[in-house]
Parts: sequence; structure tokens; C-alpha cells
Amino acid sequence: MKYHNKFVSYLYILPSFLLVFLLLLVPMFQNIYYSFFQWNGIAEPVFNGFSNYIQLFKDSNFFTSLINTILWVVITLIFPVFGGLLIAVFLRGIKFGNFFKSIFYIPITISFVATGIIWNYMYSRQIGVLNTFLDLIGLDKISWLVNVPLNTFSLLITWTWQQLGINMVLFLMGLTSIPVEQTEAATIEGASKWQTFIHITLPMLRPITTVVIVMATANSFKVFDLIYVMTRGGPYRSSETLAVTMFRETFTMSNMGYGAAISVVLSIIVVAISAIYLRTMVKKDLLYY
Amino acid sequence: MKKGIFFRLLIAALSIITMLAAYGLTGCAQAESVISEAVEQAEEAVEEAVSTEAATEETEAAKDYSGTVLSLLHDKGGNPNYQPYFEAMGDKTEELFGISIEPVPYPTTDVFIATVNAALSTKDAPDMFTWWSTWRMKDLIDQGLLAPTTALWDNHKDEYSEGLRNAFTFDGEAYGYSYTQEYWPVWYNKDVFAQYNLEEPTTWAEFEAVCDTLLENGITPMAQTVQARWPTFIMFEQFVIGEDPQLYVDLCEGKVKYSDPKIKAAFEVWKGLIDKGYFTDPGIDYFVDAPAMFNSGEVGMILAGTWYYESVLIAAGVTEEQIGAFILPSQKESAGKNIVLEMSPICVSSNSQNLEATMVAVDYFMGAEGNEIFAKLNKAYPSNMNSNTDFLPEIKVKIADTVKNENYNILNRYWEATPTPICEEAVDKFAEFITNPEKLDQILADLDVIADKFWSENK
Repeated sequence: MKYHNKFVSYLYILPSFLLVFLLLLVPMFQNIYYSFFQWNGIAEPVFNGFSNYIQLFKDSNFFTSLINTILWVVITLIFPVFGGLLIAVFLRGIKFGNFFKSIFYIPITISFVATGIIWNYMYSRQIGVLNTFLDLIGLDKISWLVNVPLNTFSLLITWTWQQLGINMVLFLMGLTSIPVEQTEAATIEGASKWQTFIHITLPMLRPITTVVIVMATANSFKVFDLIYVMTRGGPYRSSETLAVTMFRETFTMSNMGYGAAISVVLSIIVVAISAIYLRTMVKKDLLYY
Repeated sequence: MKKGIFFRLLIAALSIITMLAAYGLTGCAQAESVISEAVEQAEEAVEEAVSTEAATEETEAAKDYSGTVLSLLHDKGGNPNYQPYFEAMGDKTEELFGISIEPVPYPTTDVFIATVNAALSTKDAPDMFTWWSTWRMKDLIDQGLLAPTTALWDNHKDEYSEGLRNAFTFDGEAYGYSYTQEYWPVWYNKDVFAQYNLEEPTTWAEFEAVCDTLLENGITPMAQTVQARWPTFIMFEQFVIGEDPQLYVDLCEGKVKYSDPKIKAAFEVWKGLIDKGYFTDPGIDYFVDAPAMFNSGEVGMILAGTWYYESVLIAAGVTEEQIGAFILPSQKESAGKNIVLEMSPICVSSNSQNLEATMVAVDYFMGAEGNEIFAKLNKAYPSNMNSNTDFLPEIKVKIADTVKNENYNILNRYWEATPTPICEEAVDKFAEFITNPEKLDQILADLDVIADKFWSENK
């Protein structure tokens, strides 16, 4: 009977497992396999051992991409994540709160490609609203997407604009789950709002914060479409992140093996950081509770 | 069907044999006329048989291909947008052969290239796709991914120039066909030129004088961009050709290094113009901002292919009366008169599931009438020399006449003339130069490394 139940349980997960196996694991291992080959995607692949990985660490463009990627992660944690938390805290319980929540949430409903096109127009030197404003107040126009490193920060502003909403919603969910009794007790004990926030609200938000940070980190590591639409990683590869470099090497330069090697390195970084962070936070949560 | 022809031919042969026998029996004089009669009868029978066969085959062709849908992948689905033109081509083949064409547009070149490369070796390969000539075509030919179209070029051998056919021929086999060809002149705003009493420059000194006048009057002389990557080679190729056209050919073929003093001199000319403020900020978009600036008179000139006239300038609302064109003079007189030519191939996949029908359609498009369809809609130059060109706007007729009458040296565009791996890296280096011209030496050294790597692996 026990074995029968176990068998039935496995049957239930079989469809999901098959999907993950065929659509995720097989391509993933295929990708790792091809990272040891020199292949243009058309001719027969030629085994070249670790050459792609060795070349990668000699490639200055790879390091530019890596630095840009790290910048994306750091800025994402500061603005979209911390900003989302602030907005959630301030919007909680205020008049017209739902209206403002909707305003902040709308950008996430727009696709990255559409967002990129919209902001391309906003940053346009000729017809963009930002430069028109600068012109109106007598300042020189700026090439937001061409000047280095301003172009990366311009992309990050767009990213922040879009990502704030989803983080705000997640933090709002977290805030709703905090028992009112605890904050009320703290207030009765004479704690200020700031003290209540730091000592009650923030620690109670730790589980949702963990989720938000892991999601935001993974998303910023793999950001591609927004950059591709707005700058294509340019000019002269200055705004490339690892995901864009991977695309360029794979599909523009037809270096399938090299592109696969970049994606392997990118995956290792994302998995390692997420695992370390999750392990630390889960341990803390266990201690806390 | 074959049986009918066989019997007709058999009857013709028998009648000749019978007459020959009669010749033997009745004597030469009489027989001579009899023989000629028999031969005439036989010829008539053969002609009838052949025409019947052709007619039958035609009927069969129409029957066989009706309902066939050919895919045509292209990257001109954004700006410029060729989708309606390709649809019109499909309407015509459907009307004539029952073969319809489904054009599939891709808004960006990178994604288009990636898709085509991935699909070509599979059974889902597109039947046809737009591509680029020379090096970009060679990569696919080397992998056996393109179906030869030599027989079709032979069908139309008197309708195409030898030079054009040669550009589509690799190791004796021709591939794809040319649906249009474009020159690269300078487009200028006639109103602006008229306002400051400027005339089309015929020498480099006159060109610089035009630029100075525009600049003095607050107008940016020329458009330049680093957006979308590829347009960065436009000025580069122009100034290298203006230095020495053979130098440009040698550079593309790997016989000259990027750090060659003459190549550096071309870059120096370019740098000089950037420093003088002859170009727009490179942050502008060549297909959105540039035509808008041209229209409003903020920028005086744009160097672009002849396709830019209809599908970008006119599409952006610039009137025909506002647009003038001239061919940029070489900065060195010794370089002579040169112009860049862009050939536009449509290729046929060797893995096409409708190869026969595709060849029928391509054969038609290579003909004078078929080649005219796209050209007429886009007001472009048809590649077929027998195609009607009455539809060409006056300005394009003038450019073509100038090229022909003044014996301009025609050079293949850098995008196609240079091996793809070099070109793809080089356009980013040109962008770096445009934004940081003071880094010229470093950029030239980087370009040498890129080119040397390719040529050492592909001798």
C-alpha cells in the first residue's frame, strides 16, 4: 500500500518532470556540451576542449560585460528593490493608496521591448522629452544612450521604472502578513515609527525580502531584451551585459561554442550567488523563528 | 501525353523512310521534292509535338504548383519596410503560377541572421530569403545551404551585366538573384542649399566649402550615427575609397592592414571633419531622427543608399522637391570618381521543401517583367537591364546617368565586401572611433588584430 502510494505520487509529478527534463535539462546539458566545441551553427562542431573558456578569460569585452552585469545587480538591489520597499511602506494605508499602487504597477505590464522603444524615444536627442526639457531650460542636449558610462545608467533608470512595481507588490504582500498586534504592542511600549520599522517590520519582512532579492538578482543577471532594444550593447560594446555578450557571440558572430561557454559561466555565477544567499537567509530565518 | 508525342514522331520518321524508299525507286529529280515535303511534314509533326508537350507541361505546372505557399524571410520589416513590396511580388506569382509567397518580416538584422542561420540546415528552411552578396553569401555556399540558380541566370544571360552575375557566382555556380541594386550618393536638402546659394559640390574643396557655409548658419552639414551598429561603416568606406579605391579593395581582401598609413590617412580625414563639427551627434537614429532633421533643415546632407530616398525620406514626409543628390567627391583627386554599390540578393535554400516551385518563381522574378515589380514599388533600380525604368524618379535617373556617363568606378559595399567576422567586429570599432576619435591608434591596432586573426585562419 505504501509503495503503491509512492508510485502514484511519482505519476503525479511525471508530466512536470518530463517538461522540465525535455525543455530545460536537455538543452542545458546540450549547451554545456557545445561549450567545448568550436561551432558556427552550420558546419560540423569541432572539439576544442577548454579553449572557449580560456579565450573567455583573455577577452577584455567579457570583463566589460561582467563589470556591467555586476553594476546591474548592485543598482537593481539599491533602486528597484529598496525603492519598491519604500513605496510599499509609504503607500500602505494612505488615501488614494490603490490609485498610486496602480500607477507604480502599470510599467511591469508593458513588455520589455515596448518599454525599450518608449524609453528610446524619451532619450532621443532629437525628439526626446528629456532633451526637449533640457533645451527649454537652456542646457545642452545629452546623448543618453551614447555617452559612456551614462548609457548604462540610462538603461538602469528604465529598468528601475519597470521593476519598481513588482517589488512594491511583493513587499505589500509581506507587509499585509505582519500581525498588527506586534506593531501595536511596540507603539504602546513607546517605540517610534522608525524603531518599529527597523525592529519589527523589517525582520518580519525577511522571508519576502529573500524572495525579492533572489528574483531581482537573477533577473538583473539575465537582462537582455531591454538592452538589446535600446543600445544593442553599444556603442562599441560598452553597455553589454553577459546575456547580451552571449547573444552577440552566438547569433551575430555565429560563435556557438563561445556563446555557450559564456552562458555556462553566467549560469554558474547566478546559481552560486543565489545558493549562497538563500542558504544564509534560510539559516537566519530558522534562528529567528 | 508522352505516348501521343511518340506516335507523332514515329509517323514522321516512317514518312521520311517511305519517301527515301520512293527516292530509290523513282529517281532523284522527283524524289528531291518528295523528300523536302517529307522533311517539312516531319518538322511540322515535331513542332506540333513539342508545342503540345510544352502546353501540356504548362497546364501541369499550373496544376502542380497551385496552392503552393513559399516562405520569404527578410529583415526589412521595420524601417525601411519592404513587406508590402514582397507581398505584391507574391500576388503576381499567385496570379501567374498559383504560387503564393508569404513574406516573413524581421524588424532587426541580428535576429534575422540568427533565424536564417538556424533554419537553413533544417527541413524548416525558408524557401527564399533576402541576404547580402559576396562574403555574406559565401559562408552559406561553403556549407551547401544555397541552391544554385545557374540555369536561371543562363535563361536570362542577355538581361544582366557580366559584373553583376560574377558577384553572384562562386566556383562556377551562380546563387540567388538580384532583386534590386542601389548606389550610395549624398542626399541633400534643396531648400537649405537654395537658401544659402549652395550648389552640388563636384570637388572635395567645394564639398568642404558647402559644409563650412552650413555650419556657419547653424546647420549640421552631415548625419552620422553609432545607433544600430552597422551604419558606422558608411563614412569609413567612403573615406578609404576617397583615398584610393584599390586600397579599399585590398583592405577588404586582407592585402592591406588597417594600420597602413593610407588607411590611417583616411581616418584622419574623417577625424578632421568630426573635429570641425561637420557631423550630427552620433546618438541620433539614422532612420527616425536623421530624416526628421533633414526635413526640418537642421541637417543638410545624409550619405545613404538610393533605397533611403523612397523608403526613409519620402516615407518620413520629406517632399520630392526638397531632395537633391550628388556623389561625394573623393578627398584625393588621384582616387578618381567612385561610388559604392549595394547588391540585394534573394537566395534560395537548398533545403527548401518547394524547390521546384521556388525556381519557377525566381525565374519569373529574374525576367524583365518580374524584376520590375519590386523596383517599381520601391522606385529602385531593377537589376535586369531589360526591365522598364520609366517609374524611376528623376533624381535616381540622374544618379544612374552620372555613374554611367562619367565612368564612375563602382565598388562593392564594405558590409558585403569584407569577411563577415571582420565586419561585425569592425563596425563596433568604427563606433568607438566616432565617439572617441582621439583613440585612433589604439583602434587601428585593434582592427589589425581582428583582421589578422581572420586571415590567418582563412588563408
